[in-house]
Amino acid sequence: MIEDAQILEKFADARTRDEAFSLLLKKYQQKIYWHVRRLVIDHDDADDLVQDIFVKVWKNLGNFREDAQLYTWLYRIATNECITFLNKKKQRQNISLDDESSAYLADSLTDTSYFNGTQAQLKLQQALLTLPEKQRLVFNMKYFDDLKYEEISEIVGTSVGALKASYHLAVKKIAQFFEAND
Amino acid sequence: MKDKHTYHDSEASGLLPDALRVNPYTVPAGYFEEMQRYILQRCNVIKASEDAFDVPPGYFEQLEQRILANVKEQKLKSAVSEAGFIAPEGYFNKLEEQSFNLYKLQEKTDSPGFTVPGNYFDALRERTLRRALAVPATSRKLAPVRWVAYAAAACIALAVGITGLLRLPGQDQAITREPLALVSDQDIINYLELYGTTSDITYISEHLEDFGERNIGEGLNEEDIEAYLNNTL
Repeated sequence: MIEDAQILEKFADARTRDEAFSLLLKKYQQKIYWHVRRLVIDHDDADDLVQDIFVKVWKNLGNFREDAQLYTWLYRIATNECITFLNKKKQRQNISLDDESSAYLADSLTDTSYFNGTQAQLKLQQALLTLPEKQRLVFNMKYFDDLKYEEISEIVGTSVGALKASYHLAVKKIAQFFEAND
Repeated sequence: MKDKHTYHDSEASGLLPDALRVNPYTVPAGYFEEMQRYILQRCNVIKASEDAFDVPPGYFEQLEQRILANVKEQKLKSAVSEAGFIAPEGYFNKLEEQSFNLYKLQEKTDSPGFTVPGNYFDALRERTLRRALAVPATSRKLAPVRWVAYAAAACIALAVGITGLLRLPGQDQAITREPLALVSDQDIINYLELYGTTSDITYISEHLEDFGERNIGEGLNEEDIEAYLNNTL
């Protein structure tokens, strides 16, 4: 697998810029897609968002500061785009932005034809939609992407302690959901 | 002893089995290959559109100056139009109405109404020339009255001179009067036309026949004639 530093070096050269971006897509597009998909649930929404995210990356990669990790920078862009999208979706459905639940996405979960999980996996996703958005975000990055708290902290701009508490609360709520829906 | 306010991953992980860590979502076959191609296409379109809107070197440095120059030009134009000519109130409404009426009138009248005989204009020039040649040439008299006056004055002066000579001591009176009689009636009439009064002309015309029987200047003394000449010359 090509290193991030090599991708950035190639991107800095106008002659190899396209090649560098192809390498970046190859390396990160699936990770970013799944991160987005778990947050917005619907495949078509995720598809639109991922394209917009990578166009934004292409436009701004020249300004990327190498003191940060490339993949955390990508995750940050993706996360911000998802939060903006979800807020707009809430407004379209006349849901208050103060309502922290993601229950409005439950229909997308059951309607989607691109779901191949077991009943237990479906129940976990349903449980996740009862969580506040921030907890769901942290849980996804910790549980599915296996990111370290330090990395998540860099992405969402929250302290490691707050992230740990958030993850702990999310797991407890999910466990309670399972118990209640057995 | 564990701090009850510290969260430990092992506790949370223990609550959820690893079997649930599996991604339950799927994508259409070949989706990621297609997505990569599509994203690259979009980036190329953006790149092409950015290149298409490139500007010449130094464009933005000159842009401000050109905009300011245009603003000044517009201000000047508006100032000139405001302080310039004005039309009377309602002028343009009347003008429009008049133009419309004229147009309607022209529409109604196909021709001016007047006609001329056939070949009139062809023959006009020829006829004009023929008429001009038929009229005897008359020369315009430039100040004829002045010319006659000078002639009459010269005659009078001549007569006076001769009279003066005849009046030299030792000469006969009859001889001195004789040259004055040489001045023709016409000269005298011309002279009086210029310098005489209306009554003079009337008098002469009434007694013109009598002058032939008498000598000019008869009955006038020389002093009167000289005084007369001094006043008129």
